[in-house]
Amino acid sequence: MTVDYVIASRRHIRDAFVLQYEGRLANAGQLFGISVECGLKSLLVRGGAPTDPQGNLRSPFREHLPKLDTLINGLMTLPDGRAAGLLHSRLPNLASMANWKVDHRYWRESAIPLTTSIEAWEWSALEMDALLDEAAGGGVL
Amino acid sequence: MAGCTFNQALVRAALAAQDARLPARWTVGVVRDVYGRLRFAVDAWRPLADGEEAEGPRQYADPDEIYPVEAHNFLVAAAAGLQPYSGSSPLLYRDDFSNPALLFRHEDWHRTIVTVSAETTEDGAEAPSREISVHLLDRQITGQDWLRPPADAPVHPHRLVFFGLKGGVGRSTALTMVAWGLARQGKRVLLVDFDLESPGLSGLLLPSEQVAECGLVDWLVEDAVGQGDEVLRRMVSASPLAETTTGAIRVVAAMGREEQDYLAKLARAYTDVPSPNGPKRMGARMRQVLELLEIQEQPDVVLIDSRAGLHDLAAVSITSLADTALLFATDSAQTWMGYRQLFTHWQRRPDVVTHVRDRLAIVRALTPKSDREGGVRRFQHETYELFAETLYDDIPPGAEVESGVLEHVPVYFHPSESDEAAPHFPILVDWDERFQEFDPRLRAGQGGVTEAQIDATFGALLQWVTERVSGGGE
Repeated sequence: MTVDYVIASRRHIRDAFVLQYEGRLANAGQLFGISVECGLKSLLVRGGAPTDPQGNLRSPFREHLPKLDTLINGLMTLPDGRAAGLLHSRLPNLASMANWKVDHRYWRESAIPLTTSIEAWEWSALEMDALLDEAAGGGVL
Repeated sequence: MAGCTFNQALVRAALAAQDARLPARWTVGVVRDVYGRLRFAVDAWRPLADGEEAEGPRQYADPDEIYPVEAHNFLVAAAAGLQPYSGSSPLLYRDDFSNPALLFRHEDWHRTIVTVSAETTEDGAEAPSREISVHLLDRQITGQDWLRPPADAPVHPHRLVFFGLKGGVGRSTALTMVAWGLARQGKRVLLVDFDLESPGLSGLLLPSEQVAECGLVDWLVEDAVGQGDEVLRRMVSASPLAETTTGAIRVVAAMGREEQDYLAKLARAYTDVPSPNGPKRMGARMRQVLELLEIQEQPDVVLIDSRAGLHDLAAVSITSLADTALLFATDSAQTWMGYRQLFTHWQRRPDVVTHVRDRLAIVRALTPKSDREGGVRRFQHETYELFAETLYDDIPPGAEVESGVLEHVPVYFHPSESDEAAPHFPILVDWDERFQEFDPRLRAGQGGVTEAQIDATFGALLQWVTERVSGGGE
C-alpha cells in the first residue's frame, strides 16, 4: 500500500515547523492543515472506513478539511458519545480549522488568514500529533 | 477454540517478553488494548528491513539504540502465537511516536503477576505452576482507576468512603448515623453523594425543599464548558439533623433540587474534558471537585457515599480519594466472590497493594442477632482468609517478622487473625428492623428511633471512625 496517513501526518507537521522557522508561513499553515487532515483520515481508516487498494479513503470521506470534519460529525461516524467525547477532549482546537482551505495553496499570501489563524492551526496539528501517539499505543479509539 | 483466550494470551506474551534469548538491556513491555489484543513495546528503534531507508527523527538514531533484528523476529513470531489477541502491528518502537515518552513513560505501566499453569515439558518432566511478572500497560475503556493511587494529594481533612458491592446493606443509613454522631462531637462534616447512578442520599438528611439548587452532576456538566465555579457555591446545603448538635452536616447531593433532566446530564458526566494539559478524566475531575468543596466548606471530616459495585466511580473513590475505605459486607457468596476479584486485581500490582491495603476496613453489615457470636467468628475468619490470600504479604519461612529495626530485614505486612486494628477485623453493625426504610429526621415516638437505639446499632462503627479520624488525615 502506498498510502499511510499516520506517517504522512507526521511528515507534514515536521515540515510545517521547518517552514515556520524559516518564516514561510503560507506553506507552513498549509502543511499544519494537511497534517490534521491526514490524522483524521488515519482515525477513519482505523475505525473501518473503506479504502481503495492503495489505501486511499473512498467516498464519502475522500474530502479535505473543513468539510471532512463536518462529514465526520454530521454522518455520525462516531455514533457513541464516548468516541465523540474522546475526540473532542483531545482535539479542542479542531473547530479552528474551519477557515483553513486546501485551496490556500493557490491564493495570494495576503488573502490567507495567517495572522489570525496560523497559531490555532498549529495547536490543532500538535493535538492531532499527540492523539496519534495515544492511538498508536492502543490507548484510544 | 482454535486460538488462545484472553488469559492465556497474556501468559504467553509474558513468557515471551522475559525469554532469555532476548537482549537483557531492553525491558520488553506488553501493551494490552481495549479489545485485549497484545503488542510488545520496546524503548528502542525498530531494526530496518534490508534496503529500507530511515525516515523522520530516526535518521539521527544512535546505532546502539536499534533493537537487534533477531530479537525483533523472535517477538514477531511470539506475537503470531497470540492469535486472535495479537494487534495489527505486533511491536511498538520509538519510531511509532512523535513523543515516545508518552507511551514508554506512561503512568499506568505496572509490574503484573501472571500464573503459568503446571505443564508437561517436551522431555516428559512435570513443571509445577509458577508466577512470573510482566511489565504491562493495560489500556482499558474503564477500570484504570482501581490501579491509580494518587502520587500526592494536597493536605485535606480525613476522607471516609462508604462502599458496598451491592445496595441494600445499610450503607447510606450507616453513613447518615456516623455523620450525626460526628456532628454531636462538634465536628463539621461534609457529606458527598458520589453515587451518581443511584442518587438519593440527600433524602435521608434533608427535606426535599432544602436540597441545594445544584448537585454534583451539575458541576460535572458545567465544568466541562468552563463554568464549574458558578455551580460550586450553589451545591451545598445544611442538614437540619445537625441543628441540635454543636457541629454541622453539610450535604452535597448528586442531584439538585429542581432537576428536570438528570439522565441527560448523567450521560455526559463521565466524558473526558479538554484542558491545556491534555484531556482530564473522570478520576481527576472527581478529585478536583472534592478539593474545591473542601476549600469552600472547611470540614473536619469528609464522608463519601460511593457508587456500589465494581464500577469506575467506586474505583476512584476507594483508590484515589479515600484515607479510609469502609467496605460493607454481608456473609454471602456474592460478597466474597466480588471482594476476592477486587483484591486479586490489586494483588497483581505489588505497588498498588501497599498503598491500598491499610486504608481498608471491613464493616459487617446487618449482623444477625441469632447465633451472633458464632456468626461473627465465622465472618472474621472468612475476612482474614481473604486478606491473607490476597492483600497481606506472604511471609517466607524463617523470616523475621517483627523487625524493622535492622534495615536489611524486610518488614512483612501480615497481621494476625485476632488483631483488632487490622484491615480484615470486622466492625459490626447489627441488624435492626427499625433501621429498614428508616427516616432519621423523625423523632422517637413519631416512628423515629432514640439515641440509645442508634448507639446500640451504630455505636461500634462510630467509635471506630472517631478513633480513626482523630488519628489525622493526610
